[in-house]
Amino acid sequence: MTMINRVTSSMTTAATRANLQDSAKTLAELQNKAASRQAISRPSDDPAGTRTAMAARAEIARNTQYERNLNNADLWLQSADTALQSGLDIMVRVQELALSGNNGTLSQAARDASATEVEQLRKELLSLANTQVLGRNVFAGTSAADFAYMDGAPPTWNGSPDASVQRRISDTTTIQVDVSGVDAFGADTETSASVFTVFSDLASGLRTGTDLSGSIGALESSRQQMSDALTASGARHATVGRTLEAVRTQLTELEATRMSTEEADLAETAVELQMQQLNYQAALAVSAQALQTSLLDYLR
Amino acid sequence: MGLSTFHTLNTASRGLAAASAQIAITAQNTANAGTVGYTRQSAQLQALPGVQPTGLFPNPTGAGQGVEVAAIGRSASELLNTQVRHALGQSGYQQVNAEAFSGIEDILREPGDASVSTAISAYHSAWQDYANSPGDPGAGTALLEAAKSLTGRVSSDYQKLENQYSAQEAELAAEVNQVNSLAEQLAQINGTIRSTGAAGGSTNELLDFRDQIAEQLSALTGGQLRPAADGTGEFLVGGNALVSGETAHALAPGEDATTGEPIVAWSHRPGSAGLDGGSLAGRVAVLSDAGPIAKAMGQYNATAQAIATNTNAVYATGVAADGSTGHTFFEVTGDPAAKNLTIEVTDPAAIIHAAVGGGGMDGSIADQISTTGTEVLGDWSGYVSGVGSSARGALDGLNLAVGSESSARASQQSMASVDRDEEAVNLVTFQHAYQASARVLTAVDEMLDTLINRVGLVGR
Repeated sequence: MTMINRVTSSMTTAATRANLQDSAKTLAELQNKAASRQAISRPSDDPAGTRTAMAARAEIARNTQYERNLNNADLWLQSADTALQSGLDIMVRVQELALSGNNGTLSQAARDASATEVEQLRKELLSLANTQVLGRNVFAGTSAADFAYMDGAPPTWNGSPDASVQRRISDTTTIQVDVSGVDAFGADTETSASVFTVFSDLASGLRTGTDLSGSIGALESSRQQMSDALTASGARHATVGRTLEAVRTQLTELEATRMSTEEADLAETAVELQMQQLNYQAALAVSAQALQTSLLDYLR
Repeated sequence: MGLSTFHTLNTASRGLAAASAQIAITAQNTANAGTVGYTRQSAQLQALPGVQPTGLFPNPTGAGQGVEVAAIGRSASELLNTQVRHALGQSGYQQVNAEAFSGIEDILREPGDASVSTAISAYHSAWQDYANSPGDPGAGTALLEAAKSLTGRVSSDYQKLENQYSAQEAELAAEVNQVNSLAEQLAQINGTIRSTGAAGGSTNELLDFRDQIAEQLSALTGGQLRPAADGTGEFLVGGNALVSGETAHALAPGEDATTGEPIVAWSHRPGSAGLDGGSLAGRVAVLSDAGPIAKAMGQYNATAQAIATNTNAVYATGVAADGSTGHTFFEVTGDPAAKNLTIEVTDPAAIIHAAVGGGGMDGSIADQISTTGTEVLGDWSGYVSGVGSSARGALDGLNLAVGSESSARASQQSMASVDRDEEAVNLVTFQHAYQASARVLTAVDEMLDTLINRVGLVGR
């Protein structure tokens, strides 16, 4: 600043005006900050903070989506778990029926009754295998068929053997939310039989009075297969639960990051505002005093 | 032989005249204490020497013949005025620059909910939802809406950038007109100064007017005034005369011959005016290909193009209900990409979601598209934060320029402005000087009275 040798009344006026203007501008900015609670209302307020806030916002958007996906995955796996759990209950009952039917003490009438119950339970299991969630088959993979299983001897599986239903749970990972019907209920091939075929064979064995030990063996391996499928889907279900927890925690943290970057601290702003109001009042008082004095007041 | 009796009467009368001239100037200063651009004036008094002794028996030199007003001075400093004009050129430039960045920030609205980055995130989230419910018309409609809101945001922001560009062009043209009319005025005032000065009149108020016009021209063009000895001023822009004596040249908005970028050119000869600063140079910089508006447009186009390319690259590998592949989701139907990003899919249930061999309810293509946004978003936020830094820099530059402008102005005003207290003191002084001269008049009057009416009365 150049040295000023002479101070004139117009300079005093101009300086006073400029000072008051500065003070009022700072006050207005603070009032705006307090009202909007925004520390960053435009990128230039804090260029680095803007980047942080935008990254947090993008991640919040992604994680909110993952939270939605996980809730959806939870629904799918819950349905699969329930269906397989009920399926295993049926297996236990059918195994009981098979064992009691095989010990030779049962009358044919009782064996016929057992056969009817097995056939009934087969229908029940088939309907469990057609469990749907939000209009989608849980045991048919990505297939668009109306039902996972069409009844028949043996029932036909409409599922997709190579593609499973996946939900994205992070930027890099997806998780399978369906259970393949083949994995849970077995497939009818030359070497193996589906649980439905095993049930049918058992029912006819009971009616004809033949030895059931083959069916009992097949039942056990079907039960084992279903139980394995339940364990696998249960493990995935647990993963989904844990991930959901983690995503929610992360969302809270991200929101905190965003708020601390983007939003003004209310207490701090309030104190600053109070101080600036005092400054402004002081500036007004000083100006009023400075502008009052004039030699003309003292001349006759 | 002594001095003439009436000599002192003349001296007193000259004293009266000088004091009343000083009071008149004090009145002029006081009246103009609030006039913008007024430079305080003062009478430059000069003592008149005694009568040169002549004749056969010269007497020793007598008293002087009083005082005269030699000139009415103007307390202007050319150095300080030059500094003010220079500072005005700087702040004129910075003002335009800072405003341009601020305008772009207004369009970006980052970080915020109504921004491009939010629209990009929402668009990719919608693909994810569609992947969860493949072929579902509800999720499909939501996806199409998210895509429309993204293309709408990009194209409406781009439109605002174009509006800002044309507003700057209009401003440039208006300011060129302003420069031309100010140059005419300066040439005219030069003529008046020359003729008034030649006739021996006071040109002080005319010089104030000249400096006022020069300040406005400096703020616009960053040019400088070069005052001549006769009070006229030559105004130089980029080293060439905009105004020389009573001749004014004109500027015109033009285009660079090789790059086609906007420039300010001379009307009377080819080539750019080569502005050193001022708001016009600011506008030329803002409108240039490397300027903030062109950069923002480039970023919007690149973002639109990247979104279309990324989405389509995956979308084309997906299989439609009829088994066909190679479909497109977006199409860039022209230039600029930001305004011509159109959505090719109209049926929400027909949006492709499945990979080849993936099954009717496969959502893997939709899922894959949902993951393509990260890089685009990263580029975008990098750009936004860059704009923030540049805008911050522009604001700092403006504050600096405004600071040096007000300091230069303070120095200038310290020299040139009227102080009421000072004028009050002067008024008292001049009033007393007037009274004292009047007293001398009275004394001489009494002397003459004694001499004429009282001397030689003996014996009467």
